[in-house]
Amino acid sequence: MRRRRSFFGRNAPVLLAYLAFVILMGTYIGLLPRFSGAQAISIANQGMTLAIASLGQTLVILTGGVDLSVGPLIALTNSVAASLMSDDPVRVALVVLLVLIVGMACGALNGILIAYGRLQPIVVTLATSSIYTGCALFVRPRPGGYVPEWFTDALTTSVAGIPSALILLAVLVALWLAFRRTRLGVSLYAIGSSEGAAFMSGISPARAKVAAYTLAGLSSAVAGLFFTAQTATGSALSGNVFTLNSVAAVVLGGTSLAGGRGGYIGTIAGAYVISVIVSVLFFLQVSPFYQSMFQGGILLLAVAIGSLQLLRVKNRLEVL
Amino acid sequence: MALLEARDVSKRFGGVVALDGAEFHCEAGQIHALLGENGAGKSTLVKILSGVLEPDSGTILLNGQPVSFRSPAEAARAGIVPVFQELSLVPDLTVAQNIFIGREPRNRWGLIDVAEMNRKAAELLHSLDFQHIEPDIPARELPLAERQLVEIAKAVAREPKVLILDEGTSALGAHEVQQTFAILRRLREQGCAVVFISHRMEEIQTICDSATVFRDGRHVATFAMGEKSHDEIVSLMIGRKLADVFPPRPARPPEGRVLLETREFGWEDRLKEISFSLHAGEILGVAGLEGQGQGDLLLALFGAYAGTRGQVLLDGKPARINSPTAAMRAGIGLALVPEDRKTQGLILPMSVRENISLPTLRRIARVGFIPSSEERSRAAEMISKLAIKAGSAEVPVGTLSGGNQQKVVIAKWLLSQAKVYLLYDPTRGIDVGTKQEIYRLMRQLADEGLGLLFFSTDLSELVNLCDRTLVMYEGRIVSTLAGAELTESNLVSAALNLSPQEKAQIYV
Amino acid sequence: MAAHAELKGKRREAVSMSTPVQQAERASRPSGLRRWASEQRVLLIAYSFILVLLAFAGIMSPGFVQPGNLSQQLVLAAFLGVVAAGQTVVILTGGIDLSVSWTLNFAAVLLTRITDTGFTYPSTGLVLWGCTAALLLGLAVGLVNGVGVAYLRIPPLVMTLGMNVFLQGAVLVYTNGTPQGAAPPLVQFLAVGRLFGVVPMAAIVWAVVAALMILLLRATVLGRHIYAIGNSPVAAYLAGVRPRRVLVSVYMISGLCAAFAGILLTGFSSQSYLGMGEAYVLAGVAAVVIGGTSILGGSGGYVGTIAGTIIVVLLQSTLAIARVPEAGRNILYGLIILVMLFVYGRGKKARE
Repeated sequence: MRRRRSFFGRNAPVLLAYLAFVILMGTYIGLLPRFSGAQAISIANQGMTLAIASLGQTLVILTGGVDLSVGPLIALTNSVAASLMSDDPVRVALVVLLVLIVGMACGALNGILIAYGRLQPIVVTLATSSIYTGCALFVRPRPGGYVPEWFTDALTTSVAGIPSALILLAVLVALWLAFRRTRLGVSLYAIGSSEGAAFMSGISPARAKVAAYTLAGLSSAVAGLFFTAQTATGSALSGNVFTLNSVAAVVLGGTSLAGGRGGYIGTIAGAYVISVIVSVLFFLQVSPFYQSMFQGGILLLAVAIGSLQLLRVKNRLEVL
Repeated sequence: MALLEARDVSKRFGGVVALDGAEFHCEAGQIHALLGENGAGKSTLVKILSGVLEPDSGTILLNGQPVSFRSPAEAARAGIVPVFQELSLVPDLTVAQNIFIGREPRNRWGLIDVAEMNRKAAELLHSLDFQHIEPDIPARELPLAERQLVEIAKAVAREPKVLILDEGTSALGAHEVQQTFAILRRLREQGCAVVFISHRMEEIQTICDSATVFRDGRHVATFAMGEKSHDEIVSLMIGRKLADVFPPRPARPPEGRVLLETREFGWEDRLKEISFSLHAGEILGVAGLEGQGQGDLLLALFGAYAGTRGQVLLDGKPARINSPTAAMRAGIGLALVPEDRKTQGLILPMSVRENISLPTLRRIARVGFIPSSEERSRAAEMISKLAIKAGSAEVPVGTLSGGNQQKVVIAKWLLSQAKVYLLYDPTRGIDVGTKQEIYRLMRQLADEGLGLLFFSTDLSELVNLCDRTLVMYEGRIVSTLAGAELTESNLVSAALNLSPQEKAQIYV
Repeated sequence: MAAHAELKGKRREAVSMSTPVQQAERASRPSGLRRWASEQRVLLIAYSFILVLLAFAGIMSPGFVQPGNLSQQLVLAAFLGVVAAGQTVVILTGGIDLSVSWTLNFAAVLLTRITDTGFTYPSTGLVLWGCTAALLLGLAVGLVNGVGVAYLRIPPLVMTLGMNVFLQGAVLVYTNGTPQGAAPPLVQFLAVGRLFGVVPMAAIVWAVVAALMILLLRATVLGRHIYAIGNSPVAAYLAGVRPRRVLVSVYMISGLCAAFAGILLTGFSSQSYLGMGEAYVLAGVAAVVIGGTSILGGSGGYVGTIAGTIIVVLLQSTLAIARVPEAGRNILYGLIILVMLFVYGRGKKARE
């Protein structure tokens, strides 16, 4: 006696996110005097750090949690990388490895505190974000450091003739599509949808959560590496904007904060909508003062539109 | 040697003893019924046997060997698979994903092969005669009956040695019950042990080979089917004669003032053209299979649903009720004793006093402030009037036993002086003693001129406590039974939407 | 066996000597110091921690525990305490208000712009109007937040975050990048003045806010409804509570508190400037959580937040005295929050 939803009904949020993205990109491209490949790459790079970081945030939010330490982890990896890198490729490779391990360790700490310590994600990641910021400040009390030019070029322009941004996006999407089809991936959806049912079905919620937060730490670290390439310097406090923007990207992309529904495909659109808005406003010669108003306003509008479908729900108990 | 055995198992939750040195055993190749009233400990035992809970003391033996399960996954690996009413399907995963969760088929790159998974799911559903269920639909979009079938399919797919069905057929219609029975018989032939919990005696007598009766958390009797009569079994279950349990009914159904009347009342596709009248002094029962709209009817009348069709009249006057607050205030006042007292009827961490006073707080408040002595005395009055057993009025209501918790739910409405009570299975999970108190209270309220609309899954309650009973099927009232017609047998036929002849053909 | 029977007999005796109503009433009064202590466990821990911090600070720097310095700490705590009051009621419903920083800022710049009369002092009437406008702004922000959360079901994290970003832009546009005006003397007095030359006005203001907040939560219908919604929106709804009205109310209270804090801070700094409120969001949430209020809602209260506020302020000052570098301060801050959370007790296991 329940109504079955169509493909459009079930995937409406993601489709809306991409619609928003297309409209925004259309506006932007229309405004540019010329649109070249280099412009496209520039746009892709603008949103890349956020897009990468939002992958981890998507995983965490799917389990019904949230990771507020994303920004500080980006800053921490940025600080460590800029402080240790040199021109030597071997050294850079080792630094990259170190940074990834640090990211995973920090994420694992979040996961263990939440899953085994049974503390709420919002307060745990709030506390650890303070700790990770402290670590970043310890490594880099003042902005600076050194990032080799070949590293910057490799990540932000092209490798062997193919635009790096394209490669990165392709890798991210491929990783996500594969992950969604792993047992771990399904278990994240399961515990977000109903932790009790998942437990009854043989899943260990604790282990899945630790995995989710560890992967989030890893994705923040990768985002931090890209950020390092983009800014070519290290700074302990510059990552903060990414925390809440990554949550916004996930929500805009149609993933429910309650968990169990959504995915990264929508998040990518959400991340780029957020990043491109700033550029569009700049081109429209809107005073930078208005930027925040637009960003906040558009986020709220998007979420409100997404919520409108809740108004159709006839059982008031379900919308409490 | 018994396949699965429980020896001297005890379990308590806070101050409530669920199992007290319970004993149980079942043999391979047999379908064994586990009988007992709500609150007798059956579900707790099942949860312990299937690894969901750990016993406080006692041993579980599988094939003579002591076992201890730390999670449902461990128990499932050992071959013990439970099917609960509605607990283990993940709503946002598809049917196929739910069936194969944790054991999904993988392709050569180690990723889940979705096409293969859907195919195997379809195959499984087909082999069980459940072809109409599509494997790639999210579980939340299925009606309750189909979800139960999926739960059964999921359990069967694990090739269990012991299959435990805890009220797993409560929402199934006649045909689906037949399909399920066929599956159970096949499992029995393969040497599986089936533990079957249901409160439909007909089903039990049809399919089960033997039975165990539990009462108050303890084993009372074990016997082969056919050894004991229906009445003997019921006496074992409730520990006394049926006649002593229920308060006497007035001889003729009341026909006084109509407190609540609905005309063509409907909502979405779950309630259709509901028309009935509730008189002062009447206990009107609502029966039927689970998920046929009974709960929706109560919630819709109480204002929790938007977009209702048709008319509702209170004391003869049309009423527009679009929220519980409106329901409380509309004319003679409505009260709801909801399905789940722990999450809908009470706020467990808050004190008994705070729960009792919640609906009527605004009434006694002065300029927004709560007069605390008045609040305390009103709560104390209710506690003594209903004989609520609690350490004090200040203890969290979550520490009370199920029966006393339900009394608190009723107490809070007594203070509101509502004239129409809507009750959803109020005695589920409550011990016998408190149940009787609640029955007496219900009859007392009716005698005082209130009207009670009362949904129950317990057939004897519907027969013995109600003046009339409505039977619902697919959102409609399909029959009304009263007087001599109001028997358990007729209720079952009406619930399954069968004529008595059809029913006799299906059941023993 | 005999002792048991004796006890039973005694109880039966006592019970039979009074009416059921009297018994129930007597039973409803708590008994024993031990029981009170276990119920107030969280508050006791929080307040004890204050003493620990004071002792530690006193050892590091004896001048710290002098009345002069302590009253200064109290003044700083007052501002955070006002913001945390609003945050407390929001968190009690299971939500969070991340818009306090720019609400605070907007209120501040609005006040100073309205009372900006060049080189002369603004009239009292103008000052009152400025303060009223600032407070109305806070209420308006809270109303929008509340409507978004309650009627549109936008998650509080997202709603208040979006508002915060929006307000940041609004402040920039309104002030054109440079806030105008200075704090009127009346407002300055509220923030830095002393009554009878001794008692800091800010502390008195905080005491009044605290009294109102505690009264609201413990003795009013709205307060009871806030706890009900925070614990179980469904059960509260089915008992006649109107969740949407309660939610709108708490966000309006939070907006009001943030605006009021903005007024006070303007007085304290003698002017308004961009970024005044940045520190108060996370510090406010920390104060509430350290004070024992559960982030999930439904338990806790302002008495705990008072302790949490003092702890946060003392922590920051102590770390500054110990000359711990910013890095270390951040790490310690985070560690202490985690430790407090562990000490307060954790969630339920999946199995039970």
